[in-house]
Amino acid sequence: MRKTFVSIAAFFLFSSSLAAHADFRFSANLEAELRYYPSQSLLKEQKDLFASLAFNPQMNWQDEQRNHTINLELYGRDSRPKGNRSYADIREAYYLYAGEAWQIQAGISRVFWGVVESNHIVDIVNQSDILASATGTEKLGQPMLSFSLEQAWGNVDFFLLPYFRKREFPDGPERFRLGLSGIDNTFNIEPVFSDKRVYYQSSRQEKHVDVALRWNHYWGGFDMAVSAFSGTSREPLPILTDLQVGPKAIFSSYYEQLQQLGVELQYVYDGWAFKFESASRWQQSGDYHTVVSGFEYTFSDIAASSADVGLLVEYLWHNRKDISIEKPSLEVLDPSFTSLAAPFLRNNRIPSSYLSPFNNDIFLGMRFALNNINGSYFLAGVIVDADDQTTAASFEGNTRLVDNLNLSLNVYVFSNASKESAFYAFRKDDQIELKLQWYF
Amino acid sequence: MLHTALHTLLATILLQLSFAVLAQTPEERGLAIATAQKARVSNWQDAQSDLKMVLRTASGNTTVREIRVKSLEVADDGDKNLMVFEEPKDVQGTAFLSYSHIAGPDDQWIYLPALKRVKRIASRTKSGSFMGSEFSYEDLASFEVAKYDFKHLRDEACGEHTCHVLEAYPKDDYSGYSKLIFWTEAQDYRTQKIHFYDKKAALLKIMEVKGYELLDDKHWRPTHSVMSNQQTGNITELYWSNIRLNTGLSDSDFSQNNLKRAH
Repeated sequence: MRKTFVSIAAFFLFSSSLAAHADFRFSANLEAELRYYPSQSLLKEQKDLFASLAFNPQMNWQDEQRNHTINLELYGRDSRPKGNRSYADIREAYYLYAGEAWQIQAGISRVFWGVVESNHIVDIVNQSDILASATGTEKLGQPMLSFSLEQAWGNVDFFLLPYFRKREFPDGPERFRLGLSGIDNTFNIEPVFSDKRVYYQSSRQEKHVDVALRWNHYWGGFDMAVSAFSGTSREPLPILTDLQVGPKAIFSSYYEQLQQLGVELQYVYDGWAFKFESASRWQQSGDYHTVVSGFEYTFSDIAASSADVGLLVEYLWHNRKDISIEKPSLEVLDPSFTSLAAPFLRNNRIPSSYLSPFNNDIFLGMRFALNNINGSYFLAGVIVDADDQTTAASFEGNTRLVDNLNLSLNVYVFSNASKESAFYAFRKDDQIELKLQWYF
Repeated sequence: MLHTALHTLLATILLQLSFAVLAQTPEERGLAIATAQKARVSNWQDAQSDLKMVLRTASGNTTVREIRVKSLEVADDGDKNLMVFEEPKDVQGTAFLSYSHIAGPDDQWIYLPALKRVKRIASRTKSGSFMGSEFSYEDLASFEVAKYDFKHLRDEACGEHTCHVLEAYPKDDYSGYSKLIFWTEAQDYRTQKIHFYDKKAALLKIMEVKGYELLDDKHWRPTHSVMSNQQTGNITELYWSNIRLNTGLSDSDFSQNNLKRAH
């Protein structure tokens, strides 16, 4: 840890010596956040009110010809009461060389793939930072070597990903703790999720080298991308790893190998944007296809003001089957437990909706941008499961108070959560979040 | 004999030519002036500049936006434009890329640095406000003759100059305007003032263009524009500085990849 900070300090000094010669920028934001949960928590140890501070400095250097770029972005948060949300991450630390119609980049970076709004199914290069934001829009920095080409027939990006970042979960007093309610409890064994040890399908574990490729192009109002990924799944599978007195069944994260093929299509015309995104995944726990498709319509200059209103409708679907964890579990279990656990494992499957809740769901959203001096906007969205009415709703409001100070309010509400849904564990975690962000 | 016949023929041709000029309709004359203006302000290849926007609301609030702008002339089509926001700080690094087209809607993308996401923007948003200012996306796009129908109204004195006064009617249904009136100085085709009329044909905005500087001995560029909204009383001023022409930019400086590393 100390070594990291020494090298970061060295980087600062190095950058400032370069600053005199070319284009050097530094910016940062400091965020004060309050999270309040009005409902009584499921677990005794969980608390209702949290305060945290986050710091996010960024610096960027480019030479005069704009061929060489060095970029550094750090992120750190201290949250009380303390759980897993007090942590630091190197979001970006890379060197980039840009040629005439190509670029090469080495280091830690973030990449976004996708066109739809409700669920980012194609986006797979980076691990989601669900501690920073439960919606998965924040990402952990991913070590990578990438090469990009810009041609008349489109852009191609090629990635080598030599190191895997595991997903980090809330813990201790924090809300959004993983629950395993979907696992049938005929044996009267309490399932408990533990993140102490992580298991991998690949013997190279987190050092498995993943590869990814994406081609994208546009013709007039039509945008298209096709992507392929081969490597470690970013989504952990819970597997049984221990049995304890209680009796308790201890579940841990297991990262399998997968191959994914992604397609993104978008057509914009007039105020319309039609969107389609699909991912096909081939993996040990079962192959499946998933699709999110819909449209967005923007009304401009509402009632002669400069405000815009966007309406979004998307349909979410997948054909993932319930998941058997028997094989990976038996591989990692202590031999003394395997005979005990075998019947439990054989009789239990994890419902697919626990890992991928959006199998037949409808998303409705509204975006309201005032286009005023303060850049105020509101977003509201709701996803409803057409089969069991499990509902997740969100509201976000953001405005500039003065030039460098932003205020935002985020609310999440979960209702009708079916026992088999991923949201069941969050049914008492309706959240009100207030954020003050200072930029300098 | 032959000599006389040639003379007669020449005289006839000249007479017909001048008759043609005299007979030009206000629409033809408007188009001719706009075409001459476009020719006059073209051939700068590419441009880079710093843009400061000062936004003043009628209630007395003032705020500043800073943007770096790069433009590339495209032969026989609209320009390519890349704008990278510097101020306010919460949108620093946000970049807006547009390819304007003479025919059909413009192609527009926005890069959101916090999400690392390049997002296509629906073409209809062109009439919307640019960053809360009195300028719309449409106002900041390149001037293309083919996007309007013109009509010459009159020539009149404007300050120390003589101005052509032209009406321009946007052909695009999604333009925010029903009509624009240009006051363009007749010698070097420097636009002095534009009146913007909304869809209900009411005067919406007046833009005054000032501080022209001659760059590279041939290109007049304004350094100061004032847009005042006649319906709300809000004012946005633009200050252009550090303007450089013909700096060697190419298509790859206006690619989606470059949008991400524009900073």
